[in-house]
Amino acid sequence: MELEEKPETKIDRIIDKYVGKEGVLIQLLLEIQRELNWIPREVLKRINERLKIPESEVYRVASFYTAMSLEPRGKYLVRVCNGTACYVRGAQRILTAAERAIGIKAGETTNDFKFTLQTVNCLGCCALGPVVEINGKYYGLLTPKTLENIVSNLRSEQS
Amino acid sequence: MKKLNSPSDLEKLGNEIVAKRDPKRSVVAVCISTGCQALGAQEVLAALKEEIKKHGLEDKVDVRCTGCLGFCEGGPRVVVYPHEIFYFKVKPSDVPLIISKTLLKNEIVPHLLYKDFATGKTVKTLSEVPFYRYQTRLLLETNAKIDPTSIEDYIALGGYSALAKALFDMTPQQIIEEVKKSNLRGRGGGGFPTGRKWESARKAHGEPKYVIVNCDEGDPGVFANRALMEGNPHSILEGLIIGAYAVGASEGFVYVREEYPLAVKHMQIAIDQAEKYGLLGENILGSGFSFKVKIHRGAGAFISGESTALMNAIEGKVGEPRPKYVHTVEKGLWDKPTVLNNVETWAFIPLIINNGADWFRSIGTEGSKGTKIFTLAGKVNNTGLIEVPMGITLREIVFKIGEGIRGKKRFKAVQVGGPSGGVIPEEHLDTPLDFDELTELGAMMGSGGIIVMDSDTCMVDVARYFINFLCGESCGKCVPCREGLKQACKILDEIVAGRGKPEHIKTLLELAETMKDASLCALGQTAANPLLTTLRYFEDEYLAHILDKRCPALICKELLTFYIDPERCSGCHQCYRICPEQAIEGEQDQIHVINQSKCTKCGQCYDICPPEYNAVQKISGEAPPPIIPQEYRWLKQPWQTAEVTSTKRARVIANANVAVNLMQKALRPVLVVGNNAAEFEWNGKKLVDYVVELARGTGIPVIATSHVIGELLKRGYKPAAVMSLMELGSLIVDREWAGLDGEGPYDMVIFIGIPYYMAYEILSALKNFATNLVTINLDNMYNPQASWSLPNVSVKEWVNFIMSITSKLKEIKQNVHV
Repeated sequence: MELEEKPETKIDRIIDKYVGKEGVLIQLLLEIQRELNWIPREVLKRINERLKIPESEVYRVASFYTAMSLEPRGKYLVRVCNGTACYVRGAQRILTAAERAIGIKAGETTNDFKFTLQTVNCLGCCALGPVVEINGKYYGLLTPKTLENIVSNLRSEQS
Repeated sequence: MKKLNSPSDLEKLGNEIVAKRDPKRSVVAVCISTGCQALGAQEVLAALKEEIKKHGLEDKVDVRCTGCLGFCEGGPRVVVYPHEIFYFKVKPSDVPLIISKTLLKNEIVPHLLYKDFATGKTVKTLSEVPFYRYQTRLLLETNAKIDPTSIEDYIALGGYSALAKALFDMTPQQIIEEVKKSNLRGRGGGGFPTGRKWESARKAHGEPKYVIVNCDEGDPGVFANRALMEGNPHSILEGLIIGAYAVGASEGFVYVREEYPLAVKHMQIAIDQAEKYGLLGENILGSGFSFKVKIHRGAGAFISGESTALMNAIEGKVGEPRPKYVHTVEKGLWDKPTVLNNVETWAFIPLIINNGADWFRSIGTEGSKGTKIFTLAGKVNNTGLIEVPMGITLREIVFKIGEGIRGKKRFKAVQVGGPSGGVIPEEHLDTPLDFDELTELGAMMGSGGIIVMDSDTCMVDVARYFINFLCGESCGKCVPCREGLKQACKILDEIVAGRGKPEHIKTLLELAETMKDASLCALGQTAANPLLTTLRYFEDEYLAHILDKRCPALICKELLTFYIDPERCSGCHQCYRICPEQAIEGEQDQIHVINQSKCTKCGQCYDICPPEYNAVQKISGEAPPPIIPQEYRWLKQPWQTAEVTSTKRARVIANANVAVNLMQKALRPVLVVGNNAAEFEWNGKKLVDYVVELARGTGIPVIATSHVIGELLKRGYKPAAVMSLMELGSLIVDREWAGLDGEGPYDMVIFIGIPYYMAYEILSALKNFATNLVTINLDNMYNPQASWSLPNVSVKEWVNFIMSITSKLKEIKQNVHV
């Protein structure tokens, strides 16, 4: 029987790939983010120990970029595009509908860690606005109603 | 796969690929760019593969995935070769038809063709679609022809021949001269001449030198770079290698923003394939020139698209810009000479090398050459990516390519150049588009975003949107940008909330000037553009918000009131059901009203109100009309009912005695006679004759409907009233109607000679709403809606029946009087 890998060894294994290389902090953090879905405090410490980058510098980078999250995120990352094209076609109303359907405000995560709701500046599907991306899948030409359906489908899927 | 060691190897490979391919072979090409995927392209692709397998066509038909052609609204898009038939909005359920008709029988599936909504005509080929007719597609054309994950497809079209030409037939200096002569200007927005940039980097001291592709397309509303990198990554890579050779760089980076995973994937595949063929890496094509490329994924920061910030990001640091007095061509990435160009700029390089600078110069305007990809979005009918020659006017773009404003609204403005661009009003629509003209108007080329706005767009809100966006994306390094944007944001928030003051405009202008003069990088320097242009062209809208507390476009929530026009509300109850705040009062068939204290102005009632009623209204700058009192809210409804199903049906009048018993019990009966009484004949007499006898004999008052009145008068009988059946229905359904004589409601209605469906309709209403009435149908067909009805009888039986009850009732009446 195979034992599941502990998160600490997982992180160390990722850091191993970057030891001794230059300018790798962002890519390293992104890879850890992909693995854990967020970047816990311990990771910042571990990077400092292993790569000798000051913890303050690691924190600065991790808090600067919106792709990195220093808080745990939900299983479904719902990203409502608020780019100009989506905005003029009613993205705000899609966001309001998402907030109501999920029951949280933008930037928050549900208590059961099923949903995190974010706004994003542009997903580059401007001709299809308003657009929402959920875990890599894009939904175009949305109405508040269709978004509510998508959210309720996702919710029932898990239970 | 063998490495290519010379230009002739490449040429041979190209010829081999072409020779192996049958131009007449059927190919089904599916666009799998992010846009089409959002509309379900993957499902269409899967269905195609399955259907082809089902028909055993795997050996005869190729399925190819291609990149974006720009017209994303028509997605998912499928093209069938060799006849190049374009199908739009394809669903997986359409796939069997495409296979069975187009592939197997060479027939067209008409409903999948593009339909021009202006003319209603369908078209088969791309050049006939208005969206494409006015474009010049130097870069985007190839996207339709190749699978972006196949280097062979690219080579078959002559790909990498420009690289071979550059490496073997040209010196680096000659390449730079050619690019300089072409007058190619940076497509990332600044418009700096590419050739001059390359020359400075070549001359700069320091080793190694770097070249970078900037695909941090952070401007909201723009996706040209994504489409190019997803659809034709090799063209960018080829340009980059040529550039590296020209400036003497040995290492390159492709910086892709985090939001574009598919672009990263395709670029990585392209790099791997090019390395395998020896088109990248050590000793490229045996020329002795070596060059390697790495992808750097962004991490979600708009400012990273700024060249120096991007270099900081590649170095693994926070993506903040550096001061501009140090030129990146001398001290860029890791302080080494660096050339950074936009995706589009790099993609032009192979074309310029192959076709020559003069060819490129023949397109465009005096100061800006070639074509430019714009993203056309917002409130136009056709949206998507367009590639047009420099010098085209905005009017042509909006009204020819875009085919005008959606929903017949009025054009208001276009926003050009992304968040730091500017708003251009109608009076400048005929300005030819190029770098310098746009700057003149207060906008800029920027990333080539064109957002069309109609009369429903509030320009103050638009300015606030952009300033708010830039405020969030300002890295915070320099004060004018960080604090200026924050203060501007605060003021605009006040204005849209109706708390604006006249002096706010002056403060905004001061902030704008300071940001422009004193910011460190282009983000801050151009951040004021949306403010300045909206103030320049739409000051009246600012004043309306500030002085009248009114939003003319009816957008700014806090200046809006929603109300329901009582004249238009039809009581459909839909707004009541959707309102999340229970702010709407009303029942079905009642005029609905909005409780303003509960209304959060979410606008859902406005959206759901059916357009044929259009009752929910937005108003701004005025108080809503007073709410109508409860007692006046009921809407008048017609008395005819929808059919109410029930098991209750008329009891059958089995013989004359039943009818006689019923009728003699009635205190106030009324006899309604319809025009069928003048139609039926028996024994030389009309039914109306028998009815007159009945009326005379019993003394029951008669209401005559329609032209039966003439027949009655002919017989010397004057009925109590004449009215239409509908009129009668309206009166009799009303329980309080005091009758023709005003002495009180009737308790029995007897129908005779009434057309069947009319009797059915009225009796149904009476059954449901006038339950105090006994209704009797004396016509010869059973009518279930009455209280009592004759069964189905022949005319003879019918007449006998009438005669029988007449005589019996007469007798009873006489006895009473005796």
